[in-house]
Amino acid sequence: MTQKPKLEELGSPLKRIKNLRELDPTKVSELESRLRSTYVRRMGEQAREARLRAEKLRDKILY
Amino acid sequence: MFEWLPISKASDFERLVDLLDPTEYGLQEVVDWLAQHANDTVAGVLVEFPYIDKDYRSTYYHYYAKKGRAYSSLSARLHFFPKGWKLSVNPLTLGQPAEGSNPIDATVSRDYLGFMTLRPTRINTIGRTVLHPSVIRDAGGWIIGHRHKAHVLGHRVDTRGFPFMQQHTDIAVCAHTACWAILRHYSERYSLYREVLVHDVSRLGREFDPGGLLPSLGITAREVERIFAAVGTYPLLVMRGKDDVSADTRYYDELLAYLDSGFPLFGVQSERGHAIAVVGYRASDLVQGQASEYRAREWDYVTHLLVVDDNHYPYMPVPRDKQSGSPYAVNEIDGFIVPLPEKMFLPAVAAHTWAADFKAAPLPEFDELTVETDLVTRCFVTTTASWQRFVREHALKLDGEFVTAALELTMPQFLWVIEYATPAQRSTQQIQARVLLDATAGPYDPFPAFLVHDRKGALWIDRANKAPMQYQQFDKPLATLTKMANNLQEF
Repeated sequence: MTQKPKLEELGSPLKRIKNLRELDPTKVSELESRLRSTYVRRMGEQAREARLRAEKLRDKILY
Repeated sequence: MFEWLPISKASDFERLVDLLDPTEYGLQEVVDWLAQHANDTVAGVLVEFPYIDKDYRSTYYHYYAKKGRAYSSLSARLHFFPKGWKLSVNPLTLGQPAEGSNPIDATVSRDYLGFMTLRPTRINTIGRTVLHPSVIRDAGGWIIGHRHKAHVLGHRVDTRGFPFMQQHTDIAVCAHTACWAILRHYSERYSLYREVLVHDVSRLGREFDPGGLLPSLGITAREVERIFAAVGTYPLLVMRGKDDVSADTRYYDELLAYLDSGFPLFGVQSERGHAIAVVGYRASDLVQGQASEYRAREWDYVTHLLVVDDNHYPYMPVPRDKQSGSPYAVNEIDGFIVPLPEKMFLPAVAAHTWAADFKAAPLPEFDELTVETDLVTRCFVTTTASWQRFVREHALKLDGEFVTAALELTMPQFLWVIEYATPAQRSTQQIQARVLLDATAGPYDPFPAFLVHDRKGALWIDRANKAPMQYQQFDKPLATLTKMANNLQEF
């Protein structure tokens, strides 16, 4: 009699999906590279601006 | 003691002066407030006196009891009811003549419209108040709220709403009051956060005891951050950028994304030195503002923010630009503080920026994101539990294997949801595609998604199992995709 695997050995629940295919790694790499040069770069710039603006607001007195 | 005050017209509220000390409880101001802001949903008021209000008592013990002028320690409380309710005596019971007396708690709660405490401070006497939005004139829209309980004549009842009170002017000013309202919502809504009384709020912002004259002089936004941090939230301060148009757009995108996530915002009007709680918004099917400003974001459709302003009333609509009859406009709220939970590492600006960049050149599987050129982007936070509830509720309209995977995929407590919809889909509560982002991801992770899906298929990223991106084509395309709207309630 075959023993069922333990829950912790099952791995990803995506295994239950029959019609699943891995994406072309080149396409994924291209997408990530593009997002690094747009999204990630912009996040760095915006974080610096947001910190400076927040510091201006911190000392405003509210009454 | 309890007395019943039938209300058939606004002037009926004036009979409150027969029941309570008009000077001590500032009744003329209260009567005017009720006549101006309560609508005809209110058909009866149950007046309770004496009532021991914990928030007023916190200020009485530490402030009013020390004054030369005598202040009472007793508050009064008004309970609001719609048509059909009355008070009977011998025995004292609330009832609906049509349905018999002595109703069960659920029956009272079904109709209970909320309460207002009156403190004996002579001016600005409206204390802890929770009113159902249906009571307030012109209060419609999407509103953050929770059920607040009250004990009335042996009944444990509740009503949905957001806390409100007038500022004391001395022991607490507008900023303290806005903090109090937000923190009371948090302590009632989430068991994680402790209850904070008005006097506690006035102390939490400083390293030393800010007694005496100090609270009346106001507090800084830095001290507001401290107050929110002291009760276990993680406040994020955002100020509007005036340098360029895109910075302005980002600010409103961020504001709406947090608000649509169910986080009430501490709104700052830096020119006026005023603070409010932003608790909802009103949106239209038509684009607002100038066509040249249109960015295809949910914010483009927002007509008003709904605020709890201690100088005015709860759920007050604030238009985008100054209009007659409105004390200020949205463009005067130039900063906000959002008290976030701990496990939120990805800010709203990241979700919006990622959404725009992904839409600009998505994977070939999601080519409809580029074919449909007028897609409107909406971003908000949800919990994995809420997402799974949404999937379960819509399971019959979704692919079976998709439902199974959505319920089993390991994800953190908080997720950013991005929804893309054409204007036509948006007006019918439908969407074109949805993305779930990992709210615990850092802003330098280029692809922080767990799931991207539209009607044709789903891209899965099992981040917990370090699995590669995998695409599932549905056996047959789904008929429609429904918008998620579970953080705010429409009134």
